[in-house]
Amino acid sequence: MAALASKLSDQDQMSDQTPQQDDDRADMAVPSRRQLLMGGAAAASAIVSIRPALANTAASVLNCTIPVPDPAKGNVHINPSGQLVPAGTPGAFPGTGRSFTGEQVKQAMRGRPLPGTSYGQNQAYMNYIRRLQSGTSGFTCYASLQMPR
Amino acid sequence: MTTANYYRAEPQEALVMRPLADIVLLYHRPSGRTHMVVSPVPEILDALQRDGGGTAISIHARLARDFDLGPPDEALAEIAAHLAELADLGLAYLK
Amino acid sequence: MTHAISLRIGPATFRVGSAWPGPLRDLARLYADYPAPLDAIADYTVRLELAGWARRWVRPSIFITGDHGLADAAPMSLAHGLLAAEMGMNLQMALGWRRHLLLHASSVEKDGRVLVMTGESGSGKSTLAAQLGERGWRLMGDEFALLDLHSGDIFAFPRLISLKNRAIDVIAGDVPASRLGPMLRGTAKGDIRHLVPRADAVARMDEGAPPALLLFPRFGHAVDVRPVAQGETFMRLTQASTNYVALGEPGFAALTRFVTHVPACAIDFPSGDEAIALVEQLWAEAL
Repeated sequence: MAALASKLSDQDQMSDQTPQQDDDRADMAVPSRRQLLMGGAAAASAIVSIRPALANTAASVLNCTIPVPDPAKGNVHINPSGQLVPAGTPGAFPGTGRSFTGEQVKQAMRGRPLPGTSYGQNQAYMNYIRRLQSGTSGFTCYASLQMPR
Repeated sequence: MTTANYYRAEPQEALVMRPLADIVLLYHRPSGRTHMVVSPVPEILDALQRDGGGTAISIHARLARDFDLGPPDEALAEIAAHLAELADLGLAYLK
Repeated sequence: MTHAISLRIGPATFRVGSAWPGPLRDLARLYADYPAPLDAIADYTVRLELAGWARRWVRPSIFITGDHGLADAAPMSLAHGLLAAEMGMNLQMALGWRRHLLLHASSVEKDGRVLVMTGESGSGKSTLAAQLGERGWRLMGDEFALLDLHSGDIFAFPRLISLKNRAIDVIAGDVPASRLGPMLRGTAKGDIRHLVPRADAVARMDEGAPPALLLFPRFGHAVDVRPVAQGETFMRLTQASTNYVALGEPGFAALTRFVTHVPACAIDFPSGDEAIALVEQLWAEAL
């Protein structure tokens, strides 16, 4: 890994800092700029596309699958491939109930990391979201749930 | 894929970007498709749009001003992979 | 069609035709207090036809069709005509409605704000909505919540509530017989009995209201409450919508607005009473 810059480099970042982040910066010996890429590993997809609806045909109704509910019970974490695992499983990231303020998100977009998140955590979460898409959007097997077979 | 492939950006008005608390939503008007994205995709799209397009090399140079990208070879390969995926989805155009 | 009835449920109107009068008699009785359609032209047509008479070895059965049909859907037994009519109307909405973003969710309103509950069949969203509807909440729907594309309000589609299996016993004892449909045994989803929403829910079915809380209920587990992040909520709601993609950018804008304004929680519960307690607690916190 390349040596990380040790001085603040960006005027924009200086002016946007909140008091909390000034404290954080004082504690950290290190990075002034947010790490954007994984470094060393193959690029994982950072995009989950909402799939278009199947054509509203009889065949699509009969072939669609019904999603299986999450087994989530209590404290769960997400492993890198997006599966829910018990909290404390090595390599897994904290669960999905994260929420950040709009302000925090805006700052993340400008290059400051969301508190407590990392590249790996984002990837795990994306894989989790990807797995939620069992059917196709726009026709969610509604009819097949209702129609007797 | 090579790091010298030039990708043309979608025009500003073609993409609607809405950050949520944890991911960014993207609506692509020409295709009507919705995409959920996380870093580094929003940053790469932003860099593409600022110049109207770019290669992995030019995007890398732009992003390196604001972010720590790690070893250049790996970073270039990663950015090239993301650009290729964007092109597959019609969110950028390989010239 | 020999027999037909016109119905209005929320903003949608239906003309339900049937080859025989039985199902329509049930519909007429149960929807008696619903306002009549405002104009003569129905949004959707549902037709119940008889199949199987021609072949002696096939039991006579109902074939549902209408504006949006599913030719290969399995026919239903004659005794389930009322269910067939309800399913036919649901199907028309699911496949054809474009005036709102349709969410496969139940919804109830209190003090001018709406609680939306979404999940798969068996999650408890219908039963919970029915129970809340008997406990001071206004039932807006047990199957579809309509999200207004401009205002972000939720609008009602208060069809007859489908009580299934155990839920029938839980609720049927507390309501007058005049609000209950016939017991339909042995359907694809077990026993079903329809419940007419309370009078005020029917009278106010044109009143929308802003959503204040989204819940993902899960019946049959120990009590648990988990916040659900916005990205996950968005994905789950696209899966729970029958027309998100078809609506294009207005659908995107409406769903994004919903997800960024409405907190979301997953709740697990072993019984209706515990569910109701969780709902009331989370509702107080959300407002």
